[in-house]
Amino acid sequence: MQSFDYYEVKTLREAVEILSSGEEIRVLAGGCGILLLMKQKVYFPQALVNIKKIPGLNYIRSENGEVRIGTLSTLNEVKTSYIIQEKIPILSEALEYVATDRIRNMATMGGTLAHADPNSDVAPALLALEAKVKVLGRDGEKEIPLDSFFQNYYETTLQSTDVIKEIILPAPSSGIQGTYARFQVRKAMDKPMPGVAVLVGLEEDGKTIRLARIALSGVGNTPIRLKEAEEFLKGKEDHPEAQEKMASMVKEKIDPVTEYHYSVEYKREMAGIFIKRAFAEAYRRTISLGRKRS
Amino acid sequence: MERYVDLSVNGESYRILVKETDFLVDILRDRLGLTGTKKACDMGVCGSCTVLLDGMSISSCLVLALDAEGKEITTIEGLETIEGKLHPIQEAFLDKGAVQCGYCTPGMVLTAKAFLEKNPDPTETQIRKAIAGNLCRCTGYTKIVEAISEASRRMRDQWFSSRLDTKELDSP
Repeated sequence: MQSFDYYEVKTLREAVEILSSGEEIRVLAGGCGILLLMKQKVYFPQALVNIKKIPGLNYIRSENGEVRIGTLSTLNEVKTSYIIQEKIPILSEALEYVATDRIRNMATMGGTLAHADPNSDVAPALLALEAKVKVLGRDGEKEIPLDSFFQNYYETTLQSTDVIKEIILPAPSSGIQGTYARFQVRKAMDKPMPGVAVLVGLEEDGKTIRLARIALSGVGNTPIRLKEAEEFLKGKEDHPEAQEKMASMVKEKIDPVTEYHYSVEYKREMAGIFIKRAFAEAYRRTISLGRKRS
Repeated sequence: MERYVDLSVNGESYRILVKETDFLVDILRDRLGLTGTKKACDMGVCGSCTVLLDGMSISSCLVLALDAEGKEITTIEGLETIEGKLHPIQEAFLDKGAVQCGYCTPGMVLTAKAFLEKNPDPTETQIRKAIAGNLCRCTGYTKIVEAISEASRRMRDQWFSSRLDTKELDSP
């Protein structure tokens, strides 16, 4: 591997200072993204700033109706967290699919988002949850809605001097249920094509859709949220026609490219099928939750 | 860049001069002579370089040596006791014929160890899922799953017998 400068920092502020001191300086957290790119001779940063030794960035907290996840929390820590399983089970469900246990022990939540893999399992769930990314940069802290965070393949709105501090998730109000569904060719260790996250909330009548959130990954250059389809579903009941219409809206909206296993047509078709499946499951879960209550 | 790091491997401390580009797997194999840890895909996929960091399985080909400082590293060599007694998982692998070429075995055994510590009584499906990230190119998965299942039984038996008064059990 090509040599690089290596820094270890004790605060995020220090990390931002080092990031500001030159070109092509990158943050090292779990290392599953950046080190792999370097090993594969795809990317050659001049320096890495290891933020993993900063204390206090590894937490999952629930406060004021929000769940805050520290940037250094590993995927397995989030997946097995009681708070997440209780308040945001869809995130645990999505994390179950990510790579392998080893990678989930290493990879961090902040790193996963910064890496911006278009085939992410985590991103659709976080998009559907309307997550925000809290970032520390040269001009202080800012919050970026995840909706406008992903730009292109492995590209985000993060500046080269920014570092992710935490991920903020508004915990869905009670009565909203969701699911994450994905298709893959291999049984394990495969990327999602597509990965679909759906959240559904119902009106008092227990069948009319009050709120729908739909996001997907694996079929374009970034994970995306599908607001048109969400709007369309509002005020409707679960009906085959509504499902078909939603699926066709999704198929039109996405812009996949052909690759090894899958053609463009196949990707479109599968996106439609899995959106329908995920929606049906989310709707079913929401209804059965309502029944348990009454 | 070169720097000394203090690594704790299988309970022993080592002070080693490493470069920033050194990965843990290479230090273990080439500098410490612990060649039980294998290196195959070198990109975090195959699981042959699995070691435990503070009891959790990780891919040592994706961990910088500089970053392994301060963590307790367990390799396959660390499972055997000083008297040369194998770990129950290793014994089960031998008894069940779960070793063919052997290249995946250290990773399989360590993955099984981390897994069984959290799930002492797993189902077959859970075992298969747990080793989904460890590839066996001899495709000897059936025996490996059997071995892990057998190991879990033996470890549970050990656990119970270490806690129960055997005389009490024997009495009618």
